[in-house]
Amino acid sequence: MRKDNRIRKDVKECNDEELMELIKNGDTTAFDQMVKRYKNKLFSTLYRITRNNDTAEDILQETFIKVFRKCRLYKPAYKVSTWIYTIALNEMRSYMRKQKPTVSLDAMPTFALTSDPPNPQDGLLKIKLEQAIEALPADYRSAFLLREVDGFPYEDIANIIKCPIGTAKSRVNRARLMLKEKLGKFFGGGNR
Amino acid sequence: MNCHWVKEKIFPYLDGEVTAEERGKIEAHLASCQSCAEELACFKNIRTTAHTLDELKPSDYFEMRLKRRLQVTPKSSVWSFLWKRRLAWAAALPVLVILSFIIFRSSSSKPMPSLQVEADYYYLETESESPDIQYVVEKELSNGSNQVLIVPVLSYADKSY
Repeated sequence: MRKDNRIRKDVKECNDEELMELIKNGDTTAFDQMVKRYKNKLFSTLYRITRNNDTAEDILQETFIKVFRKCRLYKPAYKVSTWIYTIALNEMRSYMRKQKPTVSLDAMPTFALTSDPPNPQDGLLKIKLEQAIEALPADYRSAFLLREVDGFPYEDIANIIKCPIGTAKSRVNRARLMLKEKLGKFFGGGNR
Repeated sequence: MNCHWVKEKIFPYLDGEVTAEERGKIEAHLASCQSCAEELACFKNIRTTAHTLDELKPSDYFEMRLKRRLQVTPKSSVWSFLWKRRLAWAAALPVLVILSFIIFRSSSSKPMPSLQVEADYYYLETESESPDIQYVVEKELSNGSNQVLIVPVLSYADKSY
């Protein structure tokens, strides 16, 4: 019991790369820690892209299963976060291809967000921004979320969404312009 | 420094991808141009709000479902892929052996009938690597016949023929 507590504490202190090494050696505690570390972040992005709670959760599950099964394919040359997001967005594309006749990323109904109650101070701006992001074309939406919400550099975004860096930048910038067009009056912007 | 140039540089500026010199020029322009300053402020505000968007959570049962899936689904590998198909391999192997045997028997044990044909120069000039075939051709010629007995190699190889 004491030993378990010590291992758990160690795993919490590990960085992502160290966790991956432990997972490669079959350490399920390390895998649990990785799931805890990424499940909310990934779910947020997947939900905002797919706009469907169940779809996002299914893709999230497939992503973590792949992370566990394919951990030996992870190369330390990449950041763990980039690798996991790449798997997640691949899974999402694969899922959407299978569902193509009935599910479109640009035409799906909106579901209520399962988030903490919004702060009244900034709640309105967040809701407006969520709505405007939701209305973006799917490609722009993914690129914008990866850049401005998840904070990835353009090089990583290009790897995750499988496009040249220039295209990744272009998508993020077009998304920014579209958001400014819609939200300029709320966020204090002039006309470009 | 005009607004057009600054607007071209506004996203690289926002992303920290301009040189120190460019940054200085942009900031000098922003200090004197309200329109460009407002535009930059808008992009910055959108970014700040995006950074603070609520983190969403999957259902409470997510981890439990994930663990169950990991326990149920075996780890896939080349060997497990082949192992999963062991029954198919086991069934296919005897079938392949039997089929090979049947094909071999049908081509080797069944004697092919000899065929009497008009001799032509092609066959006469053929230099077979098989001494047996060579013997047949010469023998027929020594009999003064203008017909040649053509025997397939496999059939002739069988001495019982």
